[in-house]
Order: sequence, then C-alpha cells, then structure tokens
Amino acid sequence: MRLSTRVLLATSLAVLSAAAIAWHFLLPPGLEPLLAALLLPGAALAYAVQALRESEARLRKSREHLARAQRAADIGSWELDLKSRALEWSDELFRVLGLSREQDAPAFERLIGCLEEADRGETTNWLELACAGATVPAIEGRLVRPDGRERWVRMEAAVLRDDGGEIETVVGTVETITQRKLAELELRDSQQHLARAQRIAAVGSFEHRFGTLVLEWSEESYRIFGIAPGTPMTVEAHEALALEEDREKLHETYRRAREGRTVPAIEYRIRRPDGVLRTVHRESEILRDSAGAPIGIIGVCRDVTELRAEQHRNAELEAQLHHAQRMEALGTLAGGIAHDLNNTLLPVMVLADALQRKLPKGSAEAERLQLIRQAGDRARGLVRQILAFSRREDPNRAVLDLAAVLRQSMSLVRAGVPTTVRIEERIDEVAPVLGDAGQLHQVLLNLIANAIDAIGDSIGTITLALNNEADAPGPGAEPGPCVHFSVADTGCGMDEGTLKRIFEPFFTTKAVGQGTGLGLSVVHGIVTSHGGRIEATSRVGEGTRFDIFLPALGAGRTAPKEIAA
Amino acid sequence: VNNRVLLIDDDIIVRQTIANVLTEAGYEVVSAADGVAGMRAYRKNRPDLVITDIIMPDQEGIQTLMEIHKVDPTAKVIAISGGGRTSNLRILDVARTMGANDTLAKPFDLEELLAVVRRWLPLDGGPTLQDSAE
Repeated sequence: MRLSTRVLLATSLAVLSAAAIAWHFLLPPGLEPLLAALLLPGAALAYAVQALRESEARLRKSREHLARAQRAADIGSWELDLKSRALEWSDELFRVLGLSREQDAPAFERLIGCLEEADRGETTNWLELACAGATVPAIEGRLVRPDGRERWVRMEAAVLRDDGGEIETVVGTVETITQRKLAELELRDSQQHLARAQRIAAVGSFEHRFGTLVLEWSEESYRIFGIAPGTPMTVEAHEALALEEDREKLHETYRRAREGRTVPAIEYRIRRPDGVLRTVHRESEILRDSAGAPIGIIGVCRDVTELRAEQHRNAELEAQLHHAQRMEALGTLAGGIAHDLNNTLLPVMVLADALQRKLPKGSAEAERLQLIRQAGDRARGLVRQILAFSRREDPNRAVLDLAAVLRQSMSLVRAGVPTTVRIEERIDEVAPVLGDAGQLHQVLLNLIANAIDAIGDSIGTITLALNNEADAPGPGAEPGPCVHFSVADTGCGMDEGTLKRIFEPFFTTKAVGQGTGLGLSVVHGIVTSHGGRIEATSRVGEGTRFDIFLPALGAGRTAPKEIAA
Repeated sequence: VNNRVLLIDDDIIVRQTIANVLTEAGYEVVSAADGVAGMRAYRKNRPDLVITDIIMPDQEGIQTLMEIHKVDPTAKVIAISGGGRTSNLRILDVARTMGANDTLAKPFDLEELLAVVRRWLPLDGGPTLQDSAE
C-alpha cells in the first residue's frame, strides 16, 4: 500500500475518533454545532501531522537501510508504476550504471544504452516482457561504463499485485556480478586449456573416491576409451573394458590404493565399445585426507597403442638388421674358409684319384683310397653349401613353375618318407617365379627332412601348400605379388630361443653327426638370394611351420633379359 | 716336344699336387707362386700352356692373364679358382671373358684336370695316367 494512502487513512480515523469523544463528553447541547465546527479540523490536523512525521522517519530509515544494503550488495533496483508509468531508480542503480541522479533521469532507454551493443536487443525484449507482467528468468549482460571498464550485471524482474490481484508495479534489480563472472570465465578458460592440453598430449585424467562407485573422467579419457563424454562411469564399468587377462592388473591398482600402498604404473589392453583394441598406460597416485588416510585414487591415462606398435616394429627391424649383419659377417668368414678349404681339398681328391688308378681294382688299398675320395667329395659338397648360404654361389636362374618343381621334388622324396608320416599336398597353380630349380629343390628337401625329423617316431602329418599372394608380407621381401609356399609339420616344435637361431649357420639341435647345422641357413640363403622371405613359426609340442614368399613374375614384374636369355 | 706347362698358384700344396700328376702324365711343369714370378717364368720358359690361379696376393690372375696375352696373343691359358669373397663361378666367368681358354673350379678331381689340360695341350703318343692305370 502506498504511503499517501496510509497517511490519509490514519488521518481520517484520528479525526473521526476525536470528534466522537468531544461530542459526547465535553460539549453542552447548545454549543455542540459551533465547537464542532471550530475544534475538529484543528485536532485532526495535528494528529495527522504527527502520524505523517513518524511515518516519514520510518520511511527514511527504511530507505537508508535499503540503500546501504543495495550498496553493500552492489545491487541497484528500479520500480515501474504501471498505472502512472512512473519509473523510479534507486541510488545504487545510478551507481551500478555509472550514472548520476543529477544528470540522468531514470529511463529504460538509458539503462539499455549502458549495455554493450551485443546485449541490447535481448535486454530490450526481456524488459518489454517483464513490464508486460510476464514471468522472466534472470539475464546477464555487459555494461559499458564511461571509464571503459567492462562490468557484468545480472538482471531480475518481478511483478507486485494489488489486493485485487491486478499488477500494480514491476520491480527489478540490476546486480553487479563482475567478480563472479570473471572467475567463472577464468575457470572455463582454464578447463578448456586443460582439455586442450589433454587432447594434444592424448592424456586423459581420472579420479575416484573410495566409498563411491563413481569414476570421474576428463573428456580425453572418454575419447581414449571410446565412450561418449558425460556418460556416467564407474570403477566396475571401467574394469569391464579391460581385456580379461589384464583386468586383475587394473583391479589391483584400486586395491593397493585403498590399502595405501604405492600404485605402480600399469599398461593394460582394452576393447572399446566399437570393438577396437587399444593399449592404455596408466599412472596413479593415492588421494589422502589431512590425517594421511587414503580416500581416493587420481591419475592419468594415455593411449600407447601406436607407440607400442612402433616400438615393436623397430625391435623387429633391429632384430632383422642384426640377423642380416650376422649373416653378412658369417658369409665373409665362410667365403674365406671356403677358399682355403677348396685349395686344401684339391690334393685330397686329385692325389687319391692318382694313387687309386695305380692300384689293382678291389684291392684293400684301393678301397681305402676310395673312402678318402668320398670324404673329399662330401667336404666339397659342404663347402658348396657354405657358399650357398653366404650367397657367393650364383644361382642358375630360369623362369620356373614352382608347382611343377614341387611335384618333381615330391616324387623323389616320397620313397624316403616313413609310413608313420602322412604328406598332405595343397598345391595350387601359381604365377611363375624366377629361380634356380636345383636350389629350390634343395630348399624343399631340407624343409621336409627337418619336418620328418621333428615328427620322429610318432605319427604325424606334413602339409605342403602353394598359392599366390597379392602382396609379400613384411620387410626383407620385394614388394608386390608373390608365390607363397609353406611346409608345416605336427612334430615336436621349438621354443622361442631355438626358433630365433634356426637360420644361423652351424646352429643345430640334432645330435653330433646327425646334422651339419647348415640346412636351414642354406634354405635362408637361397630364399634371400631369390629376393624372397622365409618365416618360421613354432610351438613346442604342436609343430613347426615354414612360410616362403618368392616374388612372382608378370603383373609388373618381368624376367631381366640377360638372365632369361 | 710341346709339353711345357707353367703353373701359377700361391698355394704350395696346389702347386705340388698339380705338378705331381701332370708330370706323371708326361708334361714338363714349371711353377710360380704369384703373378710377378709367373711372368718372369713365362718369358724365360715360353710354356705351351699356362694354368693360373685367379685370386692371389701379389699380382692377381686376371692381370697376369692379360699380360701373357700381351706377350703372346695366342697363348693358351686355363684359369683356376677356389672362390671366396666373390663367387667362384663369377670369377671364372670373368677370366673366360678376359681371354682364358678354359676354367676349373677348385676342388676338381684328377679326371677333370686331365681332360682340360689334354684338350688344350694333347701329348701325341705320350703315355697318360689313364693308360698306366690299365
């Protein structure tokens, strides 16, 4: 209720009361009309003035109180009387807007004018709605102060209704929120900065408080695990993403943290919801309360899939380089030995021949010389093998049908295969290769002999397969289409240590006298000199498999003329 | 009689062996341990056939072969090699290209040696090891 109404009411009441009392007790009947005409207005006026003064003092007090409160809170207010369209501004509103009561009259246009251009339209609409009596949410805007400093304000509006429910006034506040807003912006910047840093470094962070199920993830963590940001995450759901064999490792980190024991960095593989396998490296720290008791775990995780793959490739390349260097060194050594051995064998063979021819055939001496001669032949064969692996012996290249070569070799081999060994052939028609039939025959014989030895006295199967491949796998082979030949046995297999060394010259697992240790190194030498690649895979007790890839002729590859001629 | 053979090889065992069997086969064998000594012996003895190793420390065989052909373009030369750092067959291919009449890869046997030597220097009516064995 407005002040003037209250004063009017109080005044009327006072006047009526005083008049009634005087009328009844004080006046003789004849004087009543005269006195009434004289006294009543004076008393009523005095009472009214008193009431007005008290009321004004209360009002002033209340206004001062409000002004102090507005000043303290940095909140200015306005009030619009809908009937009179009168707009009042509090002192603080002038101050908030950087205006002065002396120079500026309260007007919404003036308020809008204080806002930054970009915020004016929205605020105008908002004010129109509010003044029409609509319920409006608070809005924020930036003030352009004459001093040029940017200030953020928050504006609210509400309606006041009279007793009949009609909207009488619209009141609003304009609150300075610069400090809060700047802090808010700074926080948002800082969060964006952190998110960007995490994205660039591909490092996600996480936090988990014991006693809760929640696992908090940064945006980058969600990306690493292939889950939509914001999806509620729990420790259990996280563990479920890990591959089963790595799950315990992950679980252990939570257990250790709960017990307050240092949590080591771990690496575990996950299967993302889209099915992709990734490797994650995770480092964690225990969160403790002020008394030092563990209350949670916090840390970072990184997707190291590509890094590990790269490291693996490098290690493989390094191993291959190492192997190649070793073979090269051994080749040089073997070349030197071969030269001297060839010279040394010459007299053994030539002189044994010469002597033998002088002796009667069938004599004991002639037979002994024959043995010397045979030993010489065998030694010569060995030297040739050494030279073959060290690539000093030139292959006799021709365009070959490998299927035909294999069938031919197999017809020779079959007779020597024990009945306990079954040979399975899966020989496709394949593209021609450029190669030395004799050497490739030697490759096959070597691999089959090894397979038979690996099966030993047990029953087993040797599978020979030949087919075309669109592309040679891995380094070491010429890129492009190739012919793939494999020999697999179901024999005893080898451990990893043995497998690594099988292509080294003189390395053998056979008993002394049963193998020279040259077979597979020769095979390796022959395959490599054909521009091909050989791979061996094996598991103890399950068998061994050799895969050979030779470059196929045709389709962009032709036989060099000087060799084909 | 044209039966003189000059044998150049740095390996004494090889020299002795080849000299031994060729002498027995009716050839007169002069030996040298390297290319330089071989050229001296060639000029001095004018052999009917030269057998030279290709890889030797001092003067290697290909150069010796070329020098011999400078002195006598019709000289008959057999190149022998035990291989080593370079492929045996390739060395001998090179020797053939450079004018060697024939080649032998070590270690050869007696029959291979005699067959090649007789092809380039037959001994008319002379005894052979083959004959003496029978």
